[in-house]
Amino acid sequence: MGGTLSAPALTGILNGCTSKKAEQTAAKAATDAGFAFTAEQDKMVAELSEIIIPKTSTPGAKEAKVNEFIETMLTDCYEEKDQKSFLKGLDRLEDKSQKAHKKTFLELTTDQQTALLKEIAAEDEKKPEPEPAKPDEDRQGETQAGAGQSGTAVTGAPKPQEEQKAPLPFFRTLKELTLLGYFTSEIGATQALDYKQVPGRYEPCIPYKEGQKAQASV
Amino acid sequence: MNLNIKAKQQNTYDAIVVGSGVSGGWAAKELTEKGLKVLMLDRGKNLEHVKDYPEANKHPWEYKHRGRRTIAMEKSHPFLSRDYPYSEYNAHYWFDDMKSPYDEKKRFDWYRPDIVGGKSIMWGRQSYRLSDMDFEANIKDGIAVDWPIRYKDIAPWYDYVETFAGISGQKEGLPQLPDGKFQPAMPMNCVEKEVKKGIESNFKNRKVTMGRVANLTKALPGRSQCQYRNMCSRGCQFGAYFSTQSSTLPAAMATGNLTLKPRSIVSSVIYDEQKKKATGVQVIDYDTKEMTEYYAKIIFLNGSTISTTFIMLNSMSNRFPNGLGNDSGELGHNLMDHHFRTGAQGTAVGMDDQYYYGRRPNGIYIPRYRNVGSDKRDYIRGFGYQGGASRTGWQRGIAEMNFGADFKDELTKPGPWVMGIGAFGECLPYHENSVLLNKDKKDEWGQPTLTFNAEFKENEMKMRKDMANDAAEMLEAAGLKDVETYDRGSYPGMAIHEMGTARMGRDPKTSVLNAFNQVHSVPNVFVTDGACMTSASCVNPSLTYMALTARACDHAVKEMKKMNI
Repeated sequence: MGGTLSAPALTGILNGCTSKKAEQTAAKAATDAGFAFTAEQDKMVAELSEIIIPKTSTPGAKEAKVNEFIETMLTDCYEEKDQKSFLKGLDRLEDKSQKAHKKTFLELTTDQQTALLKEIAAEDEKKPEPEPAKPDEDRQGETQAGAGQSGTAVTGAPKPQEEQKAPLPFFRTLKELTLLGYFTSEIGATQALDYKQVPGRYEPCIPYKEGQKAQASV
Repeated sequence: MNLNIKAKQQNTYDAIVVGSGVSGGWAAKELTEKGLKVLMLDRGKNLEHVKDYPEANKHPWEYKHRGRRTIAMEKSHPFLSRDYPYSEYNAHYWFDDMKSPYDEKKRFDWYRPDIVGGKSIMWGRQSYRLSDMDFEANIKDGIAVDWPIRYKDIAPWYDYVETFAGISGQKEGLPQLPDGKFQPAMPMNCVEKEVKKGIESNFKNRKVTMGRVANLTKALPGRSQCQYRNMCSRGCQFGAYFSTQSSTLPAAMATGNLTLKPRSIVSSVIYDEQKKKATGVQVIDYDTKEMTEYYAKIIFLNGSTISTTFIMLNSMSNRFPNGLGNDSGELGHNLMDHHFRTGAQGTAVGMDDQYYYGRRPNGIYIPRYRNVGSDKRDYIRGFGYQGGASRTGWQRGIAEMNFGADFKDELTKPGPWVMGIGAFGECLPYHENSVLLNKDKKDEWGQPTLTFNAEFKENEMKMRKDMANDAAEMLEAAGLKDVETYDRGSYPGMAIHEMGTARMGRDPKTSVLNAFNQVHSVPNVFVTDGACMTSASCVNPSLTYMALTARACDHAVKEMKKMNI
């Protein structure tokens, strides 16, 4: 509500990013008075999400605006330490890019970007992982059975009751939010998956046909 | 004076029902259908069937956070945020914890709804009968007090409520889990069928059946059959599962005898020392905080276990300084819940050419077999399993290192079959497990708050070992691979099957309610929610509350006709 801009948004403006997106980002930062991507960060996240879920026979993460979703989630659902860990991850990629290629990450080819993301993934892999997702297993009769069918209880969601010691690793957050953002987007659910809001019936045993898409979660 | 008399008349009904959830809805239906003018009060906001289910038709992408809780939600609902039922999908159905916080000498997770219909909107819908193994358990084990009823007393009422509510399930002929009046069972998928064969051929006294669930497989008047969306807890515009709104409320309304007042907080029951009866209830308006009294010949307390107990504890008089009907000192004690969050899961191989269509809001059930017949363990009572098989979704990709086109392609296909079973175990009634009034701390409406002091003990802990190990043993015997047990710990309240704090019994010295759920010393007050339970069984309890409510209503009206109350 106030008129102050957060530091990241200010940086974007001072760096001369006066695109419409930067203005929107700044405005958003002012309303949320917390977290926002700079225009550069936003572009990086869009590229990174597209590297994870690229356009194939179906649209990729960029088209599904997963970058916007990631910003929203980081703003509303993640603690400050995890937000910082995420932004630091982007900085780490930028550093690697400068060291290896003397270019910004966004100036690299997709292959070069992919290689750097793999490095980051390997580095973050060594960090302690959050508990793996086991949604709904306690009430399998009451909700749909089996792990991984629910969009509600996905890993890494902050839990205020339990003290979380280490910030969430950057790659893990990026990966998780990219998948969540993409497969629950209209594009992801209806084009990459088989989305039926009202299945109307349950067929317990049907032959799986090669190439058949998985049912989307709700 | 005249004005007062008129006001009193306007506020007078034949019966008052406090609470509109699973049991309150039944009380309203039964009493109005028997011709009584009924006032039903609920703290929650009104929630009209279909119209007020804004989440029921939303697509995943219409949720800003795709169902996840925000930091702000966790801050405003610190208790509710401890477990999964509270989410972006149904946040507006739940009560704001901080308006009436509670204290915990030991951790208790208390789920309070904020809507007419109560938890009947968000409930898990699993519906099982207790058996004589349950009703005789306390007397045989020599613990707590004996149930004042046996299976034969409640069996016809199970028939009655099942037929109206619509319970789908499979008859199995098991004495420990009596069959009911079922709609056709939902089907098992391929892996579940295989696992059923594997378990039943390896373990003689164990059975895998379809979950008995209050979701219709055949339409009932005004209600469609299940559409296999598995979005039940957001509200169902098809009326395909039992809720107050889909089932009992329309029936009660149709009589023309029901007055429903949402946003009415019942603070206490008014007791008349001369008449030796309850004469009405004190109500606080949720918004204006104004106090009003309502009067009736009989009062049904159906606020759900904890809230009903609160109202009784908070109803102090010269006759009952420690709470209405609390001559025994048992009110607020013997708090029980099921303990769960332990079991096992594994992967089914060789079935990847099989899939299913639709999202079945139900799973399989393995009825209790421990301490049944000749089986004897180092603990008493037992547990049942809920479970199911499904193919994993895109979520399986989160923990993987790889990404890119092939990775994406792989995630658009169904993943490996996984099957899990998780146990719900019986908890014993311990006098010292309690929820009591905290007069030092007041809530937003100036009312005392509650302090919980309950824990699972040795018997439950011993049982949990079997709950995990048996699960793994059965899944392995059924041919699943990579079977792993889990035990993520369980605190009272988490299973949202809280019960026992105003128990039924034969002796007024050791129990609060009689065999017809009447308060021993105030027979025109009935308690037919979970508070009445003398023992917990291991099965999901809501169906039993329905049956006990219908039975108590029948008794109440007969007693009124005989002028006994």
